[in-house]
Amino acid sequence: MSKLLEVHEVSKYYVHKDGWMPGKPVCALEPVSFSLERGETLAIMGETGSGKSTIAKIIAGAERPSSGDIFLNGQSLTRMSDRQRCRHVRMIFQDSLRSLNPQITVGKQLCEPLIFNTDLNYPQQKERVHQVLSQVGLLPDHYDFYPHMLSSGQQQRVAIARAIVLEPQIVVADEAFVALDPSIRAQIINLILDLQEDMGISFIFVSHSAEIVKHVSDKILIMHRGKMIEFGTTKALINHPEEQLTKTLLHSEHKYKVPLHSTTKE
Amino acid sequence: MPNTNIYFQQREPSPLRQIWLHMNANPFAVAAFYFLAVAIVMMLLSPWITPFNPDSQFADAILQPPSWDDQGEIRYLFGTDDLGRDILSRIIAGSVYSLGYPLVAVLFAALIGVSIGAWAGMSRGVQSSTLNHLLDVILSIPSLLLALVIIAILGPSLVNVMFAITLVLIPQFIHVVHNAIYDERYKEYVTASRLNGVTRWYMLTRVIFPNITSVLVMQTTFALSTAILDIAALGFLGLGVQAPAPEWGTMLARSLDQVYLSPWMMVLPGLALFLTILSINVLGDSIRAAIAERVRNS
Repeated sequence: MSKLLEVHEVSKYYVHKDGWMPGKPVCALEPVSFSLERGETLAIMGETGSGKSTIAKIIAGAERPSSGDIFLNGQSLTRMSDRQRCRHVRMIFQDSLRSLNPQITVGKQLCEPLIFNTDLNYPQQKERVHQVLSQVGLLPDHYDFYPHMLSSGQQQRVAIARAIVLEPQIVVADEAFVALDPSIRAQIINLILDLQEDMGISFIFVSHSAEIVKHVSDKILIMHRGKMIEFGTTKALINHPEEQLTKTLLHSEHKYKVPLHSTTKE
Repeated sequence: MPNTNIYFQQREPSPLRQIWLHMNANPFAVAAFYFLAVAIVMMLLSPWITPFNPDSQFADAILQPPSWDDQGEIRYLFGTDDLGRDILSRIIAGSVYSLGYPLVAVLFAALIGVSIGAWAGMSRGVQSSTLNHLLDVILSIPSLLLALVIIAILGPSLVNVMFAITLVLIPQFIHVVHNAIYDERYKEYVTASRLNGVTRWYMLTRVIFPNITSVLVMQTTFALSTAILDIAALGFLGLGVQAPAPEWGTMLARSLDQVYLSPWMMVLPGLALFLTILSINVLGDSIRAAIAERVRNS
């Protein structure tokens, strides 16, 4: 049993209630199965509304799957409480400002997972938060800042800091780089790659950008209308795409010229 | 470590401080704030700072006009009433009934209403609805009418009035808190905190509550002005605080007979009531404006 993460027949249905009548279930995600090894990076691609964010949220625990199960090192994640789960799987949200509490300082928010998941006392928590802040390229001074005082790139870094502060095994990023401009995006992606090297984290990220996916990921999962239509290594999917959609998504850089070096390591 | 401020640092103010700064820019809000602060301090110190006993009658100074009048005496700064009681002392002593008791009623209503509202906001489904609409039937009756009903059953007394007012204010607090929490709890930062593995209590008190304090402050000021008006109105009608007690509404009712002879007996307690309610409303309104401004800017 060497698989770090195994997603087994996970699906998601939403029920839109109309008054008192039981509503019709709407399928957001048909049963999908895939697996991921330790230290690998998986990219999930697809059109909008194809269910890629839903997969990310289900893996991170922000939503419950309607059926199926997720196994981490052979243990069922869906049966874990949020507290047990967050030691292994952490999430970076799409909109970093909205995912940070506007009324609480950055430092206190980063302490939050430490209070509930570690035995550290207050000075040790502070020490650890300072350490993580410098790890993501912020200063210990940012401890006392409120989220609205930071730039969007810095907010993104805080979100990453929150994801890695517990040293998880998997980090899920849901379109976390969309709102950033190319240079900061490159910095943050390089930061994630560095962290992956240092800490051996597996990354799952949802993205539109073919460049980032090609640059970062080991495996790609293509979604279309709630179905997984292709899953394989990056190399295989780029060189021998089976579906037309895969080809379109991965070779989209011809349509809008984004300089490729913007996402490579400096 | 001593705070050596060698380097120039510009710190952005915290959210609460931003609200305070914004309120400071409005002179009416500042005036209202200081008036209310003085009124509350005077209320707390009222047993010691009244120049005379509010109930003692001076037979030699009946219907004495205020001191700025030609016939006034500086001894009785605001004049005396038809029984020769010092009006300044009565107004100061009356603030206990007209400001202190409403404060206590609002405090109780807030305690009960906020805890039920928070419980309703944190639970979901039928439980949430039940708690939210628990006391809704009371909302359909105007507060003054409900107070009248309770007084009709239990007889006129201050305790019954307090009971009625508290009861009316509770469902308002429940609704406001429930709606505020409901709005917040599906935001992403709450999900992020949930994924941090926090307990429900921590989630409520440390994550959600700092974000709804503004709503709570607004509701509290609103409830306070309602409570003050209701207690004064019932006192005026002779159903609340009973006659010898120097409640502002009761004083107004008593002055009705001699309003042409001694208008100061009506104007002065009326002015106290008016200024108190006005400053509470202005303060509440400017806090709301300040919060709206802050939300727009961030």
